Amino acid sequence: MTEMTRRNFNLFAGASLATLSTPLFAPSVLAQAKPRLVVIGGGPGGATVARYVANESAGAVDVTMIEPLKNFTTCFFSNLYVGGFRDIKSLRHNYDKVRKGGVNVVQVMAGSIDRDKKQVLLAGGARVSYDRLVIAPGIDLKWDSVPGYSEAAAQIMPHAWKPGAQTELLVKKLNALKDGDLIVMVAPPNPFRCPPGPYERASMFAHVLKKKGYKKSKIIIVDAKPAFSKQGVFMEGWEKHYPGMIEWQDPKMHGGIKSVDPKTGQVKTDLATYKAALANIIPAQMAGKIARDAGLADQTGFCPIDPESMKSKVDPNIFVVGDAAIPGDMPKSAFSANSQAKVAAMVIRAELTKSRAFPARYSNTCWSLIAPDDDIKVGASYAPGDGKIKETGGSGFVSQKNEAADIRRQNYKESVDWYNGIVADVFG
Amino acid sequence: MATAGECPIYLSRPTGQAIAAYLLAIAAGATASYGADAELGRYLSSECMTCHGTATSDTTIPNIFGLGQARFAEALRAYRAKALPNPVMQTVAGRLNDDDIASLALYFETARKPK
Repeated sequence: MTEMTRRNFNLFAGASLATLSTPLFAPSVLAQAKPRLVVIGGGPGGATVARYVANESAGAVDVTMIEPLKNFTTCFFSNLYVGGFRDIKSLRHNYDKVRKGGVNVVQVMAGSIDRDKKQVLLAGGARVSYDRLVIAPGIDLKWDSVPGYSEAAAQIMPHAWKPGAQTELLVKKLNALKDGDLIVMVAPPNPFRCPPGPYERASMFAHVLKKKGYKKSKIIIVDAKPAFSKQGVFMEGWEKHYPGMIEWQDPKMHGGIKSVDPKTGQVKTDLATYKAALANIIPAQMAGKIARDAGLADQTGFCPIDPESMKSKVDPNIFVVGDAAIPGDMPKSAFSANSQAKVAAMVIRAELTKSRAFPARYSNTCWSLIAPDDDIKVGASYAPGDGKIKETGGSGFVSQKNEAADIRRQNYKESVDWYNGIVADVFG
Repeated sequence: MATAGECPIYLSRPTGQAIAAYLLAIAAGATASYGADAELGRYLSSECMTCHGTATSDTTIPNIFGLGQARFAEALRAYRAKALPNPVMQTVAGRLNDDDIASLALYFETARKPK
């Protein structure tokens, strides 16, 4: 039963001037210590939960977000920086508005979690207690999934699958290429962050080289998997815009990725050995270390969650959102992270303020730019079903071949509007 | 927010919600829609914020704040019936029932765009 207090009854009665930014969930906390939410990770998953719980509980919940970076560079849309469609500054966001919204932002690395004591141990030794914890650490890279690859090797053969310095290194190497230079991309196995991402990136490589007038350059994608997201329309677009430039190899063709050598630039498969002027190696992935160290991940390296709430299946006081979670039918994307965060925020707000909860619902759309004004998309809505986050039947959509140019142009504009919307939603 | 000095009025959830929705609708100058639920509208609106939160009259994604309830509901029903193009909106609207649509229409009529 929801208690309707005299105060929020009057709020509703005076609603001709009220905006619904006034919280409706009047908490029934009476003169006791505030319940505490701690969020680890200030990306599209973590920052969204922190902001939404702070806003919707109107100060009734103490919200702390732990994020080591002063400024967050979005991985999403970083391919557009690679392609020269925006500058890297446009991808950077600070936490000033998150703080103004009532979140205590602590700029430090979270070291580990003591689940028995319900405390987060920070680098430097401080401890933060929680009633509910959200872990949104993103991904870590499985270096040894590509023989010869390592964190050190990434300084020569960047992955740029975590944004910031890696993205800038990739762009520097791309812009230094000469006509006729070879780019080799190693694309990861499922599941990984941003399923269409490697193929949008290959498109951006091709666009940069084409714009320079290069006629002899080539991009080879050595893929660990037999198919990829929006494959049909990507390949149609590559043929249209960059004929002969991008060659995608599935495992049947290349026979397996044998090794990479940062000293020589060699990428070796069963089919051939390539000398790459730019090797973009995107290895297999797993949940961020703090989630794995806390025992929240399974043998896949990602964290199983309850689809009704985003709670960890291992610990009911802990929620995992974003790329670190096992999202059922949802892809790993910023859109998904933001969507999952809102379900988690709703459940956390309902539990900690004893207010109303709603059925979980999720959605995702992924946009990918193939060439100027030629943007494709894929998406669906989701809900709990069959023990996972399940795609709602009939809700899925994907761009079609031979689509009118107007639609593809509209997609691009829509994606830019989405970027502005989601960063405002995440960072304020 | 309730504090120790206040005396809560205990209403059953359906009664409380119905009164709240009715008062909001009257305050907004519109005919109350049966099934319009302000709290549900607010929860559902969080999905909309991702794309519409910064929309203006100049953006491709439209500004949906301050639309009249009837116009808002009509647009969502049209997307749900796939009478309007845009697969993203068709997917969004496709899983909304009439009460969801009424709740969202109610919310967006009076909600203010985040600054």
